Amino acid sequence: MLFKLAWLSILNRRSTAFLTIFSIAISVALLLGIEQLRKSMRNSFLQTVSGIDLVVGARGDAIPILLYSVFRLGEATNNLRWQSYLEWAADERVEWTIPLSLGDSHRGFRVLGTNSDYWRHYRYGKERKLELKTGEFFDGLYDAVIGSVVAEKLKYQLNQQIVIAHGAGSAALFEHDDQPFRIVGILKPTGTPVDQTIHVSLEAIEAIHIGWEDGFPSTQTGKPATMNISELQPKSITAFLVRLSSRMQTFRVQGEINSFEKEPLSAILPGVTMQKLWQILGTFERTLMTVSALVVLSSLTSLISLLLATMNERRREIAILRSVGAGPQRIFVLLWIEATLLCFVGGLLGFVLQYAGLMAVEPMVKNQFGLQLFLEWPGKEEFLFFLLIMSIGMMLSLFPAWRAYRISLHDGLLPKI
Amino acid sequence: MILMSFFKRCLLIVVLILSIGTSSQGFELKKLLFEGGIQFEEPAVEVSWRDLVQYDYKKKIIPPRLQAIEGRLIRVPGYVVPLLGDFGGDFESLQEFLLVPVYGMCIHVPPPPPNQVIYVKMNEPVEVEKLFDAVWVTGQLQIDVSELPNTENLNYAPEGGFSLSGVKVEIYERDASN
Repeated sequence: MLFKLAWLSILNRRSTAFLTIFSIAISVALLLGIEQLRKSMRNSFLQTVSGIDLVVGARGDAIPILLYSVFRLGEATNNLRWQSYLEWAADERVEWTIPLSLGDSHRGFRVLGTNSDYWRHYRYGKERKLELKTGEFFDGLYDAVIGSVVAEKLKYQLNQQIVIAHGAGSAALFEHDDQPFRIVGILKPTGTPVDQTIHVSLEAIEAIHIGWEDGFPSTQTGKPATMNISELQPKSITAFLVRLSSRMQTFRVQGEINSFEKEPLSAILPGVTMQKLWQILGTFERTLMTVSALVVLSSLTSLISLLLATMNERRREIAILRSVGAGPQRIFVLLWIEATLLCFVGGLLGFVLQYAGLMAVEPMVKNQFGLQLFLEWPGKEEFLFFLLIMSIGMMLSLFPAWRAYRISLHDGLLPKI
Repeated sequence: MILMSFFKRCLLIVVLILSIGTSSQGFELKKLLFEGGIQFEEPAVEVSWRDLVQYDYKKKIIPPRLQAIEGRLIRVPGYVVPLLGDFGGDFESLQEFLLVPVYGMCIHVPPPPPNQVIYVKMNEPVEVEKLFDAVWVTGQLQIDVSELPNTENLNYAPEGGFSLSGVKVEIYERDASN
């Protein structure tokens, strides 16, 4: 019966009640939405690549090697010789490798030279393969396969011709415009740096750099049409990814690569390095969480202040209730149920709003920022979150209820307003 | 219920809701205890690295103490070196990692020998929040003495090592037993 009374009381003050519910809903949606974003951000960073045991580059520190090879950020100080790569790729303990060659760009997007091992072996997230949206993987010398963000931002289609620039800047001052590339494939979105990469073959990287030994084009460049593939054996690559046949050999192989006599190389453990990098980025994640928690707290407090403010108007109503026999304890419970109901409805609405909002925003976020939102059905964690918010709301609702209790003790039937 | 006044009833409900709301931590604890396919019929044997180091990987001699615990459930402390398993690098759900006795062994030259590293594959992904802290890992021990296939390149000796099908990971607390 008290529930019905509380419900009718809320209905009576529809507009203010609706405002309160809406403000709670927005902040709950904000909290849950930020939590989703945080998880997606974390996943898209930590799950950029999986199933890799070692990453090998020219001698250097672990974090820069991870950044330029896996995240395509920054530059390597040096390349490593193709011969060294072949020797390690042939090692008994190595199951497969993926060679990577970096250094060029196209309108701000990195160009990656690699071979078919990339398409065969590269995994991200939970064993997800790279898949094509349209077209095929590269076959000819000047074929290029582009990631989804490249296609979206630059509005590229299949069979379009593109020109690759030297270096990583967005304004291409030295272009390889004598050897344009043709887009033969566009990848599905992955939420990893793959989306912002243009993939070409290792041979193509050699081809466009013929005559560029000094770092910029010489006056005589070789005619592309007369070159055959065999002449375009790569001479060096930037890094390679390694998968071992047995994880127990990890330290051993890493140690041997690090003390390789023929060339100074560094083999890093991607898991450990990613975790170190995450320590730095993790503070952003935690700040986000703190901000959203504060938002929810502030809106729950505004609910309480709203209820407290309206307490004055309701003194007559409370007095009337008392006159028909409601004890002060019942008044307390009535007010408490009312506040809790508002919290509950607001929370539910916020929950729904959050999912609707994220679904609406997902395509934009993916295309503009390359961030893949891993939206899933609400799980145990979301449910517990909701319960936690509700319990805090119920706790805070005790204040106006207590106030009403005190008022009802003091006022008579004709309260001095 | 009728005997309690309204007030007390409400207080009870509040306490109930609060306890549910904040027991999310409790859910995680439960998950840790009832994990894995191995039932806890036998208590896990606590093993120290001093025992594990007795394994002669060059001559492939397993000392009797290790032979006794091979295949059994053991509990061993160490530091976690996360691996990028099939689930990527998210250490909120870490499934494969290496366990070493000394922190920072991955950057040591020379690398740790096979009797100072355990390859752990958890039955269920675990959350390893702080990778700097030592942990206890419970699991079934396997000692692999297989040789790698024949090769002309004999720069490395054939070797094998420890592996564990992990069941549970706990934070290492300094207690009297050590």
